[in-house]
Amino acid sequence: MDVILHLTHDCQLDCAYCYGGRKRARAMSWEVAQRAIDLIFDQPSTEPAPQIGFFGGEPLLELPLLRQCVAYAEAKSAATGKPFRTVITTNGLGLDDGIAEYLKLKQIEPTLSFDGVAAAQDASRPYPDGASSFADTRQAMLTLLRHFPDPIICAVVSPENVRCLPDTIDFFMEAGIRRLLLNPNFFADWDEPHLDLWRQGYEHAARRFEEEFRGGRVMHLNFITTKIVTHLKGGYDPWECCDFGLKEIAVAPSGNIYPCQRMVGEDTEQLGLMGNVFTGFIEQTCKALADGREVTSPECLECDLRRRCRNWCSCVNHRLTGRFDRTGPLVCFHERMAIEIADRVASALFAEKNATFMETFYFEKHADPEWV
Amino acid sequence: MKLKPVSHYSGARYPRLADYLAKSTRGRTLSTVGLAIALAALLSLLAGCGNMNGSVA
Repeated sequence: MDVILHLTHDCQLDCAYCYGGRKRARAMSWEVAQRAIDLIFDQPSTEPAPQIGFFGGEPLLELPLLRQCVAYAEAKSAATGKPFRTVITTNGLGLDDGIAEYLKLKQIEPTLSFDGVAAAQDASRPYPDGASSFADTRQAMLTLLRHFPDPIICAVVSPENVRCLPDTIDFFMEAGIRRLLLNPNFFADWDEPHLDLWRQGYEHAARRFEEEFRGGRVMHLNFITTKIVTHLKGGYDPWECCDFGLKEIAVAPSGNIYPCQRMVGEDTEQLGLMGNVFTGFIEQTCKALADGREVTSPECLECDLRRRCRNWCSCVNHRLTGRFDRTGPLVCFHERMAIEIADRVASALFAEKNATFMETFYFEKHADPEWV
Repeated sequence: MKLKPVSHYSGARYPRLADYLAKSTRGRTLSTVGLAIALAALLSLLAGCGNMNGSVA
């Protein structure tokens, strides 16, 4: 089981789409963090390397606690013989070379939340006084690039910034980013003109992706790479889908346990509350969550793309449709678009027997003569 | 906007890995398990905190 620790509800930014709710200086106590880490090390698990994720709010605001958690997890790992992975999602504003060096030393893989060019970043990720966070976040990206060969950037795509998407993709690629997550804001109001801009942005990304492979350079864009892989292997495997509390849990600063980090919010609504690190899991809720996560939309069941579709994200489903087991039309639109574009790109690169593509996705540089 | 199920999809004109390897001389020497691990690793390249398999929402 993996655990995501919400080290604090606080953050330096005031992002329009944040699902964390109102920002406040409420940090996780050491006792809560310790019990949460115990949960993943003390449970019998067949998974060899549980993951600890640092999240928030902004987790670097609680750096001493983060360091304490890492040291504790290292000690637990040494005592139990279980290895672990650590990741962090950060806005980068507290990052400097010393912290980046620490993250590297401890093999904590960073994901930087950064929406792209100034117009995109400022559309949704300002400081509370409305000031731009672009220059500071760009600086954080450059700091990460000095210490990590291949940091992940997570950019939210929303109607407010989708017009900038081509520029944003170019901006990240020119900076040297090779792993880019375009994270759709499914909860925004998307009208037809903005859906068209979204497609245009993805088409631009696809062209850049092809160009990179033709130039012998590997890059990964989530909506293309994941859809290519799901074709290659015949769909998502069950263990790759969200298990909604079975494989990954999120722990709020209070110690409350949720099935997903998106459901922690302000920790007041308590939708999907699964328990608390001090009192344990609420069995009835866990069972209800597990039973209700299978997608049952009739349209999905008859769709040819169902095994490659990520309609299994229960928290997105609930927010869009009020049900964990029913996905929304915007997810359907996105998945059809992503699969169509990814398949077109992959079909072209395969037809060309592109060596970089073949090596990345078929694990051999030169196409087998049978397929030439 | 509504859910739009897709039928008779034929957009992927590149082979599944298993089909590719079945025709490949090299495929006979590679283990299925090893390839499954390699593909899973590709997905995990894009997995960060709270974005399982790069499939964020």
